[in-house]
Amino acid sequence: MADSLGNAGEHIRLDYVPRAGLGRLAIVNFLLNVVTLTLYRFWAKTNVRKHIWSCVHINGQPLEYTGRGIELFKGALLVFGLFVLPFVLVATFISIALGPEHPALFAVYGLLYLLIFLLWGAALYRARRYQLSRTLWRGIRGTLVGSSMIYSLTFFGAMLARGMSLGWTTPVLNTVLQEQIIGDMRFGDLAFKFKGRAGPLYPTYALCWFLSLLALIVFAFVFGAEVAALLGPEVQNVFDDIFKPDSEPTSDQIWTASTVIAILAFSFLAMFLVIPMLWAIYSAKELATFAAYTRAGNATFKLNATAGSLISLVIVNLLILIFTLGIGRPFMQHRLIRYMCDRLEVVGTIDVHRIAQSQAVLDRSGEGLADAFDLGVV
Amino acid sequence: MAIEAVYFDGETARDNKVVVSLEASGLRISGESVPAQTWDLPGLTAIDPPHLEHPLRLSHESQAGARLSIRNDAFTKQLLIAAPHLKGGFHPQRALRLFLWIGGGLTILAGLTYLTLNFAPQRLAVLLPDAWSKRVGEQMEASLVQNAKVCQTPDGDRALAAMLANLAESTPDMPPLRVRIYDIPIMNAFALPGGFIVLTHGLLREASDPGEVAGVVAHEIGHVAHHHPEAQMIRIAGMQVLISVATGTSGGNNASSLAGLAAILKSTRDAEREADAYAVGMLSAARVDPMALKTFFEKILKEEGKSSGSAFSNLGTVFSTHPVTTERIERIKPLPADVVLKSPLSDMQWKALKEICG
Repeated sequence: MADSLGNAGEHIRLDYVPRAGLGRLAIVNFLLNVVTLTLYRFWAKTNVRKHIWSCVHINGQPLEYTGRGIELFKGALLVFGLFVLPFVLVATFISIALGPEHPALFAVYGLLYLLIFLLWGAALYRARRYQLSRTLWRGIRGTLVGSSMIYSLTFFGAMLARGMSLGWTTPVLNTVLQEQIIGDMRFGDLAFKFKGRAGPLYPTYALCWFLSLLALIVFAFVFGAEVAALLGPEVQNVFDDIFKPDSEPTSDQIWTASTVIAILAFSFLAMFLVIPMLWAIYSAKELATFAAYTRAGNATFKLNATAGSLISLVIVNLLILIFTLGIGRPFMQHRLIRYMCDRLEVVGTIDVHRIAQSQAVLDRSGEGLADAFDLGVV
Repeated sequence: MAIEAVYFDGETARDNKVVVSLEASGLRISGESVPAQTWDLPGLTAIDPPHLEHPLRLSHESQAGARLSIRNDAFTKQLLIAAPHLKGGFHPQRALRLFLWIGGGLTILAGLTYLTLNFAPQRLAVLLPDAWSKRVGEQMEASLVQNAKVCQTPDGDRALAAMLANLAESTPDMPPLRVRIYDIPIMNAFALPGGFIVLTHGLLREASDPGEVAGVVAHEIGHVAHHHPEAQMIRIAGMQVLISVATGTSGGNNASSLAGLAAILKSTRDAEREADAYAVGMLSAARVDPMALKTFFEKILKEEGKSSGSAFSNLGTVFSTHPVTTERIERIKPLPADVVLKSPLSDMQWKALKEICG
């Protein structure tokens, strides 16, 4: 460990040191969730974070998660009582008083969705702030010092602009949003800074955009041909024969029918897999770029994110989710955090000894909005 | 045994090298940059259960922000013998608190469930303004029959009106109604909020006697008179709120489709019994043989037995919303022998009604 003689700073090194017990935790959490009609989810989430946080060692000292299940529970109750329940009650009242097809009902739900979109960014920001304020390293906690509402408005505006520009403003907007949130981030009194242009992201963005367009065109073509074949008399007759009662289709007919169905299913699947995979190239570039734009003290960050590794991270996580029926969710988080720790490098030094405790007031409850919107934040 | 450890004071991130020794009074901590102090053992908390390759991290109640980080397996072992509570595991007090919070939440949920599903609906249904139930009923009827055509012929309409008039004759407090027949092939009949009653062509076709149709109509009037459809609607709306309470979200966001469900879901056994009793009373007062309703129920029961093989064939028939049971059939008794029975419709009228859908 470093000496105490007030030198220029320490080099920072991240290690992910796994510890046993995550599997047991996953199963216990699952069982208690079932027994309590998911009310236990707040405590479950907390226990998983405690475990995973303690596996992240920075210069040999693990992180500590000090959040409590009850804080998440209160946060959810608060948002539910002040935000969700009034809407549900008004909507229920309208559907009884004015009828289930009355336009006022659609107006109420329209307003609800508008509010959800307006508050989406705030939900993310507040969840991040709560987690940072519950994360200790060497006894010092983090926080976000800015306003969640300003972030939320930016986020909402970005959502609209992104849609209107067919996505082409994404790199600029993501950079702006990242600058806001990183600029607000503190560890104790150590400020993080984010500075950089979106320009270098554009070549990769353009590549992914045009590749996706190409993929879409190819799929549309394959799909069109498929549908044409399906509607054509030949295949139609085969299907008619197969679905006739008491039919005994020939193996040729079955072959034709299953080929048609298989190609159809495959092109659908491919569409939902290939396009996100293409975008992993951009995601990797953005992650790496944003890390490089981030500074803390005299240190910069280097994230060795690649499209291939991101894809395999996400696909294995998806497989875990599917094959454990969601019970293995903690392992998805564990893999994500490990990925970050393994690939994040801190270049330069931070004068850790001078970092003083954060004076920000602690929220007494957390993540209510995020829970209501089911954001599934780590 | 004295060992080296690291101490964080919770004020700065500085790592203070300290010497820690285990003594009778607790952990004695001393170092150059740290005031000498002793942490008694009962006040210690382990940040996480001890684990190889991970430092043992301790905090103490006397100094909430401070942390002591020990990397010495031999010392840790000794400490755990002296203070076994640091091993973690089951913590009765914390478990009790958790149990109380979650138990409290579940109790409230159970209470709300009882309130919304059993206690409130029938009581609120009576209080619902007529204008509200009419509006809702009309919209539900439109969405349930989709684009099915209303069956109408001048003679058929007159026959239907005559049947209702016959039934109403001796039941002066019959609620206001609107009965419509739709050209829908499956056999069905239902009552909606606001006194809207829907019969299907399929039901007319199956009936072999005007008394059978009168019986079914009287049964549906029974639901209307007892405000069952309104109660059902409130129950469904309550269910939506409950789902949203339980999941903490805005539920399915589809109040409209759920309200539509109100007409399809099984009504309660009590509601069926009440409607049956009302029907028998009404038929008896009008001197229409209640045995015709019995015959029709028996037909339905037989029909159900036939199709019980597949779940789909039962869906959307009158019997799935009003399950006919032998118990219900047996409760229908013939009128005393000295009562002169009356047919609710003349032969001409019955023919006109049967042909109302063309």
